[in-house]
Amino acid sequence: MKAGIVGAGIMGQLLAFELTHLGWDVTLFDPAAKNNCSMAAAGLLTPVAELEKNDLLVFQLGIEALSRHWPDVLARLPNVIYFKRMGSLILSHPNDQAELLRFIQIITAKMDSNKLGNYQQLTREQIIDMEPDIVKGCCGYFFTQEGQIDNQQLLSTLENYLFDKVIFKKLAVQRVEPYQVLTQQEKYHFDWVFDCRGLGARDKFIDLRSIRGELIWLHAPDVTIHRPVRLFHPRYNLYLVPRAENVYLLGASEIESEDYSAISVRTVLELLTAAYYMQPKLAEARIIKTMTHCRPTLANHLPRILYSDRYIAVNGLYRHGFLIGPTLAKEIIKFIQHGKQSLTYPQLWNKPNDHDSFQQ
Amino acid sequence: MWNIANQCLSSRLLLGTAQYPTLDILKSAIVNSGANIITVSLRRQARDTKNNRFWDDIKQLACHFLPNTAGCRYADEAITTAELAREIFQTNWIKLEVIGDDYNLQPDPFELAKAANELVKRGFEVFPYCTDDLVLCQRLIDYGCRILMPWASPIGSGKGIINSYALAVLRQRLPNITLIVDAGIGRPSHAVQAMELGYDGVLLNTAVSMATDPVRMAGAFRDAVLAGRAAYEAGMMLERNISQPSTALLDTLFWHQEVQK
Repeated sequence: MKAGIVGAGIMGQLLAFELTHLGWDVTLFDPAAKNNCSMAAAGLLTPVAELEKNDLLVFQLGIEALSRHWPDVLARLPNVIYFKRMGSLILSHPNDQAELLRFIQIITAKMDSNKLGNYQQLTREQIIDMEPDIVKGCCGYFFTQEGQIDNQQLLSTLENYLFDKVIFKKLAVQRVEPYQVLTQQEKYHFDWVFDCRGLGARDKFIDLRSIRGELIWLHAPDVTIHRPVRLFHPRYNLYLVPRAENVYLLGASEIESEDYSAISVRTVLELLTAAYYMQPKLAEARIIKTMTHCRPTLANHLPRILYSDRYIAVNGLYRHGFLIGPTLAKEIIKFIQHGKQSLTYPQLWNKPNDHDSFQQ
Repeated sequence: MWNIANQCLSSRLLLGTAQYPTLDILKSAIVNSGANIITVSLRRQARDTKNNRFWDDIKQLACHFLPNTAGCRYADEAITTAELAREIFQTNWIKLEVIGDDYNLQPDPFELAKAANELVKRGFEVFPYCTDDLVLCQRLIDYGCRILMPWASPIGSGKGIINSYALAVLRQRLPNITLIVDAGIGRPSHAVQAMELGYDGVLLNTAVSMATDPVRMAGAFRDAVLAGRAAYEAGMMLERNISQPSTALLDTLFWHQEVQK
């Protein structure tokens, strides 16, 4: 079978990876190698914590990816990828406990009560035992199943792995249709076409919009934090995602705009203030780089898959590309192999012309 | 129906648009709240307003946009933001916010009055977010404000009406001014209290956007504002110190009805 995949973000790459394993001939189109919103993500794999602002569906997709699909994908790659499942921490200063309690109230309301084993409240001593480099006096919760992945390393590894297995076309695509992909010069024919263009697919997803995110990379040799940490503050929300060798990613803003310009002074001040508040030693960290990108987001902030004859478009991964991407890829493979009745998440699937599907 | 800034509206609830979990939830909350006026922030979220799907979607709800000057600290800054908002949102309405203290986001009365004075001259309909200080409110009226929005308590604190005496005095002393309680409302009961005081409306954001179920909470506030207003218009009984049976006790002997000393 011949597949044309348009868009080489995490979704396009994972689909290419799975299809080559099935022995398909894959062509991957993307005009801007490595300049996509997947490269600017932080690789936070925190399905429970995402419940604060999202549907239970994202939690289910995320848990499945963390426990089954990521280990399976990583086992098939030649290099060892930085991937941790040591849990994550949600913290606040005792004065801001209302923020923490509100968060717990929301996720408890959304989660099935028998899944409550997924997190536990920590005493200050337990926090210090777990992460000695977090400043004393914080209170918080421990989310046992969560983790993080080095998504930049993963994307580079995937790309190298696929290099001699798929045909890369560094071309801007004008139209994506069943059986064909059209560029300015040429028309390419395939048995199946997969549209993973993100914000480029506005013609197919009428409620698609962009949410800008900004991220700061720090190198802090004096600070050792193992688990992703989210800090709640009445004004600034911060997450810190550890990487190998004392590198930490601080994120992330959420701004309703399609603006790819450099990080703003305001975001830098907010993120660094919150980080300093969590650990004053981070004042001596070095800012390695900053990143800005725009997340493709649908009105309900959930992913959506459109399908018609030999055509699949997947979009709206918002800030959850690495959290849910592998589960979506598996779901799409199931659809191709066994049809609609085999799907685990039929609520994600819509016909392209079904305008009702754009409503909720 | 009631009038504010020459518009005839059905709802006395004004809703903010920040911090909702998703765009769908924001839209459903606005619809369920019944609000006719929604506040929008220009400083950050709305910078890029051309082809901005977020604003285009909200515009379809046919609410009046009330842009704010959130984040401004000085009069000149607020005036510039107001001019920008007038151009972008095509309205002369402006919720004038000039913050004087970072900790509790308290309005700076001096910069606020200065900005209000200038903006009224420039043809704006100014909705000043102010404290409950009577003299400040009178000064804002002298400068041409027809609407005042005193706080119940600091923004986002959810503490409700901290000084109900001051709010009652404002209502009593400024009977011809449109008064809206803005900021600090945490629960529907707080909104009822404000409306029972005779306030013309209530403006809130966090109490709905940060609720576990924002859409249902929007409905709770819709009902609260209706209940409080209806109570005010219906004329509430006054408190008294002695209990009086609501059922006439005709068959109780009069010496048994005597007040216990």
